Amino acid sequence: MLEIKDLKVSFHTYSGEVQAVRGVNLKLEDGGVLAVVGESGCGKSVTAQSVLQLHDPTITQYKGGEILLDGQNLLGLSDKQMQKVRGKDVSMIFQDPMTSLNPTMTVGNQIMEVLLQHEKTAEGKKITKAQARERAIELLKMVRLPNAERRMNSYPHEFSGGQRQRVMIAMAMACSPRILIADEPTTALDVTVQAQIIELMKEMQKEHGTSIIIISHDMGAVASIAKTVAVMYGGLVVESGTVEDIFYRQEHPYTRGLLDSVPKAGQRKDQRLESIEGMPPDLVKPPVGCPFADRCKHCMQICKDYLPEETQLSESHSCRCWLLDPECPQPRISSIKVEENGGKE
Amino acid sequence: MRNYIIKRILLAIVTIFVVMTITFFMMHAIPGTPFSTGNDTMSAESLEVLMSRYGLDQPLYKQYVRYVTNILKGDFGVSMSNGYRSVSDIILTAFPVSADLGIRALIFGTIAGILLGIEAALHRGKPVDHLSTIVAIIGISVPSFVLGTVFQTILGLGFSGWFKATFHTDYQVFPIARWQSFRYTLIPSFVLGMGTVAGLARLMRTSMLDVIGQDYVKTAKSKGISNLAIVWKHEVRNAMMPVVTVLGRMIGGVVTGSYIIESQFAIPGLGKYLVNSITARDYTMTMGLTVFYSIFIVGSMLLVDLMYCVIDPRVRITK
Repeated sequence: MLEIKDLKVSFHTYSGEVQAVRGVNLKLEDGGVLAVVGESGCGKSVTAQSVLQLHDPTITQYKGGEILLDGQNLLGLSDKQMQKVRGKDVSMIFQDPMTSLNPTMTVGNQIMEVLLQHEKTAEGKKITKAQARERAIELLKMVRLPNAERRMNSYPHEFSGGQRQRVMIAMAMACSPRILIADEPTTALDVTVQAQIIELMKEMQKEHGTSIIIISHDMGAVASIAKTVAVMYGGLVVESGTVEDIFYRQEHPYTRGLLDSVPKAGQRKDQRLESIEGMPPDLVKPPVGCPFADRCKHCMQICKDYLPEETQLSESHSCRCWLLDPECPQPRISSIKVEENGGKE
Repeated sequence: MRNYIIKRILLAIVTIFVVMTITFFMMHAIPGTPFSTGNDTMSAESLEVLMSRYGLDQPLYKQYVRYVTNILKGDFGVSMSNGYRSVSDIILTAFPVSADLGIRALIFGTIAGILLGIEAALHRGKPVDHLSTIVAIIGISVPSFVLGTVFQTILGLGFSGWFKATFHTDYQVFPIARWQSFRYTLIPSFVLGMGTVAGLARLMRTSMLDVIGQDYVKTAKSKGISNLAIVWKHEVRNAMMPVVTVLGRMIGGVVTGSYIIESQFAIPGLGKYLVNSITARDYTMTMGLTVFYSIFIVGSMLLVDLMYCVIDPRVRITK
């Protein structure tokens, strides 16, 4: 139902044009859960926020591609038309629940605001304040916030981080959107709270049939919720597939690197976590070849000179890597055993 | 919350008392007396009579105790240089005029300043933004008496003169002096309010730019809220915090500090009494006005602190 085709997004900054997204293809099925993973600065947040066009319009340029919601290109809509999509069809949760709620507005009013904006009664009239209030209380109960009625009049600073993220989820789910985009929803939270928030999102997905795009740099955090995964690097999707494809049959050296950097159960305390040496490329001057070439252990001359095309490995699984080329002399990543010290059980 | 307010009020009273004490002793430390400021023609005997009549021959600490006791009774004494009128009487007749001018200037300055700041921030780098910079530079760097003269010339003489000549009437559109009806208030309020406009426009612009970049603004946008509602409900209210702080100081400054404008436009306000009383060593008048002003300024700051609690829920003190 949501399809991103060859999306290209650039920001015009003082240091030049930053090509944050350079041709991304993503697909989210009805009721699906797509995880977009990658480290900071790889374009995953930019891609997600492009769906709602939340970027500062004065510096952002959508240079190409389409974002199709049921066949309608969102990039072609006017700002007024986009306002009807935001919060209604597609809603969003942000990374830092400490700063993403308005500090001078009660939590109740912030939830009611989105309801009053979009919800209609059966007769097609705007709902009343009392109706919005009732619905907001229901929403707070749904995200399991204790004392929902009383909490309606509280301000964000009176909540803990996890509770604020629950409020954000309640707000995002207010108009029963078809797609929920969660931009690093657990990054700023304690590990125990992270699990609760992921659980809550899973529940929303099951009970309301909402499709979810979850963005994260933590493979472990998304493993339990995602159905499909797209790995982004340097403004491109380097590998995508089902959870099984990515976790058990990964073909891209970067995907392998990300998985190796997740702590494993049974790992000894004195074992260091695997890391990927180096930094992501500067997207003001993106590399001509594979963006990962500089940091890749398997880098060949061709990787530096030419960008690899997407190779379709199965119906669900595709990967951009020269190692998959039939003429490549080196073995594929999937045929290399995972190193012992970071090994899976 | 109640304890907080009581504490603030007590602190305000102490502040006023300290201001009063310091002014009292400093005033008496200035050479000269109310009756001998240099070129006196009075005989030594008459001077002595006057001094003892006003109790100025007493030791300073006794004068101080007597003064404080009288103030506590609400008696500010008799002015020594304004024909035996009581200080309270002068304040009561002249302050309403000053306050009238000040409040007009403040209302104009606050509304125009805040709106200009918001517009400048929303259209950063566009003509409105440059206009706000120009207004701010003029408002801050050009002294009010220069601005006053300029507007008296352009509007008061130029435009009104043209109006009279064109419509063959004696009607003065923008009178340049005195304080009689609404049109008399236009130029002085505008000129006095310019400083406020300038200060607030800059402050509001900076504050708005800061808020516009905040995450909760992006959240509001992601909810499908219209741009206008985002500006008013989410951005402006949060951007108002620093403005409210400065506003406290501005209320005091604008309402009390209009001596120059008042004398330039021949407005019978309090400003001239303060300046004249200092040069005339009119102890009671200076003291009375100082105490009155400090009550006013401390009061407006107290008001601002309490306003904070209304605007920013994080400042509200529980209990």
